[in-house]
Amino acid sequence: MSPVKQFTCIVCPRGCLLTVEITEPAADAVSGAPNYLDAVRVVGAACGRGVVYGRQEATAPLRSLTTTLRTSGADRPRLPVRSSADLPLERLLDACIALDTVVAQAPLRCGDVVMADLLGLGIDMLASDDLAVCPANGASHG
Amino acid sequence: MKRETIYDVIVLGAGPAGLAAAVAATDSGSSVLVVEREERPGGILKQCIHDGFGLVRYKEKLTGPEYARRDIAAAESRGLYLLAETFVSRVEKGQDGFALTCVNRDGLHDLRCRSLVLATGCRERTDRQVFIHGDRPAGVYTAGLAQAMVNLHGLLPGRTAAILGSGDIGLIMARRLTLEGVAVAGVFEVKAEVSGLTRNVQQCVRDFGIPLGLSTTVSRVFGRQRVEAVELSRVDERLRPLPGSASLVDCDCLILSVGLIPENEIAVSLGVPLDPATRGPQVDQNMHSLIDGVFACGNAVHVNDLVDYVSESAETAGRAAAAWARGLAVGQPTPRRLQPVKTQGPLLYAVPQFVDTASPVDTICYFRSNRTLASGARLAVGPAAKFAATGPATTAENFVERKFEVLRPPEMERFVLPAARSAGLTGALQLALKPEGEA
Repeated sequence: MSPVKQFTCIVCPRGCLLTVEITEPAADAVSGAPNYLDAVRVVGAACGRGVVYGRQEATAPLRSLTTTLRTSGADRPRLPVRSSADLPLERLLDACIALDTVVAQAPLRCGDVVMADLLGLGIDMLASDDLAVCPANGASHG
Repeated sequence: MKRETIYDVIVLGAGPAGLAAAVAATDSGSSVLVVEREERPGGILKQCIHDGFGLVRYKEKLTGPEYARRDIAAAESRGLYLLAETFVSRVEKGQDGFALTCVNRDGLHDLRCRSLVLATGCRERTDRQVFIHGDRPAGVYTAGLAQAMVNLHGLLPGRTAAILGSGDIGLIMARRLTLEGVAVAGVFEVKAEVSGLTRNVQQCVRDFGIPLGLSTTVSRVFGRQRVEAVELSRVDERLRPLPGSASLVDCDCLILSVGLIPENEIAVSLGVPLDPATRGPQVDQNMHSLIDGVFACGNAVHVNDLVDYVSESAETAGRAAAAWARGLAVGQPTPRRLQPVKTQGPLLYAVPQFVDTASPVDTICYFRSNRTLASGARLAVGPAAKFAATGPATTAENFVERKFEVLRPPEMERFVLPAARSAGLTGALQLALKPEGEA
C-alpha cells in the first residue's frame, strides 16, 4: 500500500504543489529498525523546507496560531498574540476556546509570554505587539 | 506647529509604505514629516494579525503587527516626526515644492515640502461596486471591515457568514471567523479560479473543511433589518448567473472580498496621470510620478500581494524623494529622460510604466500575468524597436530574459533591470511575455 497525498505547500507564498508518497518502511541496513523517514517521499518542492513540510503535513499536520486576547488596563480592547511554535491542526479550535477567557494585562512588550503551556502542548502564546497602559482606563475592555 | 518650516519630504500615510519611505528619506539626509489619518502608525498591518509577513525582507515569518513594529522602531530610533490623527485636505504644487492644508484636533495647518510621497494605500471595493440584487439589510461587510471588527475591536460581524470573493483577505477571514466560533457557510468566487494565494486556500479554507464554490456568485441578499439569507447562482463563462441554478444559504452576514483599489484622491487632485490597469499613478523606476516631485509607493501604486515589496518600493521612493528635494534646495532639480515601458503578451500590468534613462537607479519591475499560465512562460525585456510584432527573438540585444515555471494573476513577479543596460535606451522599453507551448 502506498497512499499518495497532494497538497499545497504553505511555507512561503510560492505555494508549490507537493505530492507525498508513503510506502511501507524498509528495515534500516545497520540497525534493522523500520526506516520511517525514507518511507515518506516528497515530490514537487522547490526547496528543502518544502520537503520537511511535506513529510510533516502527510503524517501530522501542524499550524501556527494567531488570534487576539481581550485586554485589561490597556489603551485598546484587543491584543494580537501568536503561538511560540506550530501546534497540531486539529487542536486549533480547542486552543481558541481555551484562550477565550484569557485577559492580557497591560503593559506588555511584543514577545512577552501571555499564556504559558497552551493545552499542555508545551507551546506558549506570545504578545505580537506592544500593549501600552491607558492611564484613564483601569477597567477591563469588553 | 512650526508654520514656516519647509520639509524636504512629506510622506502621506504611516502604513508599511509610508514608514519605509520616511526612514529611507531620513537616511538619505532629508528632513521628513509623516502625516497619518489614524491614531497609530502601522496601517492595515495593525489588523492583519495572521503570520506570513516578512519572508522576503527579513527571512522570518512575522505577524502584521510584528512587521509594522520593526518599521515603527526604525522610525522612532531616527526621531522621525509623525503627525497622527491628521487629515490632508488639500495639496497645491508651487514653484519650489508643495503646500499642504491639514486638519486635526488643533485646527487647520499649512505645511510645505519639496518632495511629496504618496503612501496612501488602497481601499476595498464595496457592495455598491459589485452588482448584487435584493435588500440592503445590516450585516453586509467588506472583509477588511470585518477584520477590523474582530481583530481590533473584539466584535463578531455575525454568527453564520457567507463570504463572496476569494481574495486573500476573504480567505483569511474565513479562517479567522471559524476560529472565533462563527460558522462559515462557504467562500464563493464568481471566477473559475481563486483570486488569493494558493497557500491561503489550503491553510484558511481546506484546513477547516469550509466549502469553496467557484463560478458561483451571490445573486440576491434577503433580510429586512438583518441579513437572513443569500441566494447563490452558478455563472456561465461570461460570469452571468445561470437561470435555474439558484440556491439559498442561511446566514446573518455577508462578507465581501471583491478587490482592492489604490487610493489616489490626492494624486488625482494634483493631476498625476494614473495607469488604467493598476489604477495607481504611473511612475518611473524611482517611483517618481509624471508630476515632478510627486512620488508614490506601496499599494497606492498597485495592489501588492506581499508587504515585503511594498516596503521595497517605498524605500526606493524615499531615497528618490530625498534626492529630488536636495536638487530643488540648490535650485537644480535633476532633469529626467523618461522612456515608456510597453507590454506584449498576456500581461495584466507592469510597474514602473516608465524608465528614467538619466537615473543611475536600477529598475525593479513588478508584473502580473492576466491569466494562469500553467506551463510557464518566457519573459524578454529589451528595446521595443528590436521586437518583431510576433514577439521577442532570443538575441543578445535583450536586456533581461527570464523563464517562469508557472504564472498566476494573484502572484506578482519581479525582476531587476540594471541601470547600465537601460541607460542607452532611445525609445520605449518592451516587456514581452510568451507562454510556453503556445505558438
